[in-house]
Amino acid sequence: MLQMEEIFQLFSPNVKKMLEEKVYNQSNQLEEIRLRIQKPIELNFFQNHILLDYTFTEQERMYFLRQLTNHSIYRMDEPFKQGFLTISGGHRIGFSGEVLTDEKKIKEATFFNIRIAQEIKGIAKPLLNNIKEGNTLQHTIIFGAPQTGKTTLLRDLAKQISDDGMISQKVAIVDERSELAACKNGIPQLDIGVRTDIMDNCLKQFGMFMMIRSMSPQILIIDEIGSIEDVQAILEAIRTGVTIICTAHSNNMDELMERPQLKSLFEQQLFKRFVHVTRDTNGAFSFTMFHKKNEKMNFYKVHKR
Amino acid sequence: MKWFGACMILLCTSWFGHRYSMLYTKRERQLKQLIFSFHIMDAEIVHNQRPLQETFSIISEKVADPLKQYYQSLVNEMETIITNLSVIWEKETDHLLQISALQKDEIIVLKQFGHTLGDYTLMKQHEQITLTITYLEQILEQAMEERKKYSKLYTKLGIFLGIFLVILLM
Amino acid sequence: MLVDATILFQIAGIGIVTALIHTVLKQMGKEDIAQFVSLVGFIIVLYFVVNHLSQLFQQMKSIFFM
Repeated sequence: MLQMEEIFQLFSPNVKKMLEEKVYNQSNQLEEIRLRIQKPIELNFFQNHILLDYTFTEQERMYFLRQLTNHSIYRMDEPFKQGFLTISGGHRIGFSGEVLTDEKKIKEATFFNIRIAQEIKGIAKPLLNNIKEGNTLQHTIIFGAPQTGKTTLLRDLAKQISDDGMISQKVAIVDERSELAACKNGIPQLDIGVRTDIMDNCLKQFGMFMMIRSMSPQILIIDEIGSIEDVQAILEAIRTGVTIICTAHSNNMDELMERPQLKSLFEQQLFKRFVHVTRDTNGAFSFTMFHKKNEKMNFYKVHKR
Repeated sequence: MKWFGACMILLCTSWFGHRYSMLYTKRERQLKQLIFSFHIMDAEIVHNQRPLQETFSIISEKVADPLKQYYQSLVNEMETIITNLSVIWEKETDHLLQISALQKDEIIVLKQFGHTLGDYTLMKQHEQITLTITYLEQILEQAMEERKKYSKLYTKLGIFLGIFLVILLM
Repeated sequence: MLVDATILFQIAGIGIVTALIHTVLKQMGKEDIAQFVSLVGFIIVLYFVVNHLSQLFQQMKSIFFM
């Protein structure tokens, strides 16, 4: 449970012990730890949640903030503007609380959501050969309901393409929410491949062009496209010759194609690969690949870890 | 033999006088270094948002003993997981009183600062540092005056006392 | 002669040094210690003088009442 150490040491010794006990058996199912001022600490696993017999007091909150910043709470100024912070190990801590409306930043963070980084290496391997047509990788879109593992899949796909001996392409990631590579001070905390460059914490529309202009990538990885600006940027990027692999929220393919902002993306039939991600009650991932509307290509089921 | 004894007495008292007078000089110098260290702290925190342990390390490289030791001890104490920085700061500041020429006034100012260290937003932290610098500068002004007044006099006192004893015991 | 030169220098020396110390202390602002030191110096000088005067009188006695 080495990856949990960075998180556990943010808590005072009593809480740390409690956490270690409760998480012991289900450590790879832990998804979130939620902290709320004056309320019990919540542990969110894939299938269930536990409320610890410990209240998140003001004292505990200060301990938490101090450990987080190494006793330098002034370092929270930037994260308080962003609303989240990435710690080593790739875990993301989101916060909310009292906001200073004028300055659009958090004044006092009293609610925390620690999202445990979920890196599943190898999960995208079965897909590798299928997103090719001949020797060229096709524009791919991964879609599914929230929390189904799109980001996890995208991350590993980037890594596989980057690392694979046969395919090995120059990969560029525009990591708007620091979720894919989970950069901390510009250093990726998660494995996204050896031939991968990252633009961290940057709006997709700008990040894409900065990458194309400066890093000459072959593959461009973008997470969660949804706005018209995103789509326009993608269309422009495709014109320069890069291959796009992205994700979007959608429950099924029909819904995806019908979304008003994304419509123009599919009209030109640029995307030749569609991957539908679902997750069953045991946490196992299923990927269904289409290469046109309703033309199923392949179906994979991958068990979690 | 008598002359040898006389020289010894004279040297002894002069040395004591000189040492006492040096306390004033040292205090002034150390206060200046202390203020300098706070300026570095301010710059590192406000411009680079550097964490405190790193900041102390940077400062300790740029100042001389005993402040060098002071900041280095802080760095060392922060190597392990600590609960409360202000407790450590207070402990080291008390120790500083022992190893330096600094007096109670400035030590109290330092301890006060320790209570606000690392617990506030950037703006507030900057304000606290600036305020502490102001207090220290006031103390420095006083210390400079004291040095001008007293340091030479104590040296002279040491020498005269020596001569006095020598004459007496002639 | 009757008055030993060393003693003379001693008395003079103590007097001068006491004055110097008094000045230094006064400059420091420590008036009270300055006065104390002067008093001490004066007493020492007085002691020397009285001591020597008594010697002088002894000698005189021995000359006249031999």
